[in-house]
This record gives sequence, C-alpha cells and structure tokens, in this order.
Amino acid sequence: MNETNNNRIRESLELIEPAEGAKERMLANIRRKAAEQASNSEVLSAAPAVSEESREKTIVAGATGDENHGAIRKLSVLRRWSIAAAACLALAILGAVALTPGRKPSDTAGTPSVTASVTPDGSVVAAGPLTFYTTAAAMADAIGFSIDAPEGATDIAYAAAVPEFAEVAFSLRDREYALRASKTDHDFSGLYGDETKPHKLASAEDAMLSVVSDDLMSFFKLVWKKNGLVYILVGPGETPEEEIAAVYRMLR
Amino acid sequence: MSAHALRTDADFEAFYERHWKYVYRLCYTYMRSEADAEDCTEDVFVKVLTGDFAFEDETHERKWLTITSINLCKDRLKSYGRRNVDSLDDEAAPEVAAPEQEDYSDVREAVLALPPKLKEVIWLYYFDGYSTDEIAKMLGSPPSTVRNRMRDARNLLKDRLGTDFGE
Repeated sequence: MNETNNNRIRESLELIEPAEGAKERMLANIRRKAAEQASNSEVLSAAPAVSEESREKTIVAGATGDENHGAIRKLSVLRRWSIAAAACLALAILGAVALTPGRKPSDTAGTPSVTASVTPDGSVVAAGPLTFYTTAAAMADAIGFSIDAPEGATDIAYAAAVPEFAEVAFSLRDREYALRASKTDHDFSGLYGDETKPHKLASAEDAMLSVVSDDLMSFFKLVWKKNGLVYILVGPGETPEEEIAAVYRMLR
Repeated sequence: MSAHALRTDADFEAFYERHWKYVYRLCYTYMRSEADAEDCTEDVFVKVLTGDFAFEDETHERKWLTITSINLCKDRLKSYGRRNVDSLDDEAAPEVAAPEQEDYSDVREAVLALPPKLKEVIWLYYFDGYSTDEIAKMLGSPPSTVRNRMRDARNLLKDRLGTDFGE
C-alpha cells in the first residue's frame, strides 16, 4: 500500500509538464542571459562607476553579473526586490488573465517576467506586465501620473505595472530606495513577511512607517497619500528614521 | 578530461537536452508558477553555461543540478519575499498540465504546498530515490534532521490527503 502511495508522489511530480515551446524559449533565454552576464562582467571590471548601459542591464537581467562587485551587489538587492515584487504583484493583478487555465504558450507575452529589453529608441522596455522606461515622462505618459526620484538621486530606474502602479528606484546618499505610486489604496508594496505596527513618521504626520522583514531581508515601508494617489517608499530596514524623513520631505 | 566537460555549444545543448525537464519540474515544485519555474530553470543553466564545469558522469550532473536548483529556488523565494503567497499560489496552480488519464493533482498540490525544507527531502527521496543518508550528505544536514523532515512532511501529507506515505 505504502509502495503504491509512494509511487503516487513521484508520478504526480512527473505530470508537471512545461508549456509547449518552453524548451526552446528557455534555451534562447539562457543564451541571452549568459551573454548579458558576460557583458555585465566586462563592464563592471572595466568601469567602477555604473554606466547607463550597464545599469539598464542590471535591471533588465535581474542582476546576474554583479556578484564580483560589492557596491553593485548591494545596489541590486533592492532592485531585485523591486522588480521581483512587482512581478509577484502583477501575478496577483493579472492572475485572472495571465494565469488562466489552458493558456496557450503563445500567450506568454502577458505573463509576469523580470526580463525585458531596450527598444532601439530607448524609450520603452517591455516584456510582460512590467514595463521599464528610461524617463519619468515616458512612464507618466503610460500610467497617467508622474513620479520621479528626488534631487540628487542616482541610478534611477523607472518601471510600471500599467495601469496599476508606477515605480522609480533610485540611490541616494549610499542607500537604495524604491518609490511606488498608485491610484488604488490596497497594499501594492509587494512586500511579504512580518510587519511591525505602523506608526506616524516623526515630523510627517500623514506618513505611516513600518518595517517588513523575513529571514533574509528587512525593508522599511513608508505610506502616504497625496492628490488621490497612494505612495509607498521602500528602503533598507536599517535606515534611520530621520533619514527616511529627509527623503520623504524631498519627495513630498 | 571528463567526457562530460561542457566545452562546446554542442556539449551544452546535449547537457540541456538531458536535464531541462528535470530541472524545470524541480523548479516548478518550488516556485509553483510557470513563469518563475522557467526563469529559475534558465538561471540554473546559465550557471552551467558561464561556469567551467567538468562533470564526472550523468549522476554527478544530476546531483549538481539538483542542489543548484534547490538553492537557487530557495534564494529566489526569499528574495522575492514570497513567504506568504497563498493567494498567488492558488492562481498559479492551474498552470500545471492537468492529466486526463490519471489524476494525481491532489498529491501534487499537497507536495507543492509543503514548506521548502520539507519539499526538498520529499523530492530527493520520492522523486530521485535517494536514501535519507544520501540526502543528508547532499544537503549537508545530519541524517536525523532529514528523517525528522521526512516525518514532518509525511504527517502533513497525511493530514492533507488522509494517506500514509511510509518508507
């Protein structure tokens, strides 16, 4: 009896079948990712400063070429969260459409993905529900409202799950942040884990601050509303509250 | 030099041909979504393609891929912050091809719903056929830990399915 039951486990897992065309699609992506990784490694070893091109690749490729560069690796942690969490949220948002049973492989353009590519004109980068933009204006055109990084920010990247939310990731004073905005009022932070009880940010009574953490990472989450939009600022969990407040004031 | 060194594109393609479906299934078991499983599968093979590996034989290949896939999926789940994704999992579940001749979907879903630490021992024991001692070596855990996880996993499966999955 147990033997039969044990076989059921194996057989049930053997019934997991990749989608039609997955084999070829993955092989093509493997080659592309490997090429991007090699390219990123060359850029990183050649230039300590992150070039515009490599920055795009870091975002687009999910940061695979950063293991040998501490600064970039640190930078990529939040970027990875940012993009991956957006993809997770997009899964939830688009689940009814993208994850419909019986979906054909040819429909995979609509599935969440952390991959994308830059179009020749550099304006829009898209693959799946997450769309990447090279300027705040281009993203505003698509989503209908504008958000941007504060003055002095570097390594700025724009992405949106149209029409759900827009996001700008940036570095400021050696820390990484991601700002999201949405017309919806549900939690679109994409953060999962244990969350502390939100409290009002000092000197900014309309913004609520909490910390969300899991086994590996910890992020602060600052939420406020303005002009019909909900804003969520996310950054490293260890960021001092006064520093969060300073960034908040710059964004406000 | 081993016959399984991946020195040429043809070597890699043959390697991919041998293992792609296995790696995909393993990744799907962890990620529970088609898109994530494909992404993780790709990244496992990217490691192969960009690394300098010379495997002893296919068993060595499979072991390396198993451990690499498990580690990559667990890292990905952590970095995605996806510890509490029941709603997403519910959405993702229909992506598994629904078998018409034999329906093991209840067993599959019960296994897929296990926590990662329990899932890995179930996969290695029932799918790959390793003994608990071999699993302990592969995971770098004491055999007692593996046996405890097996027990916990079986108990959860029994709770869910009402069926004993003994040794």
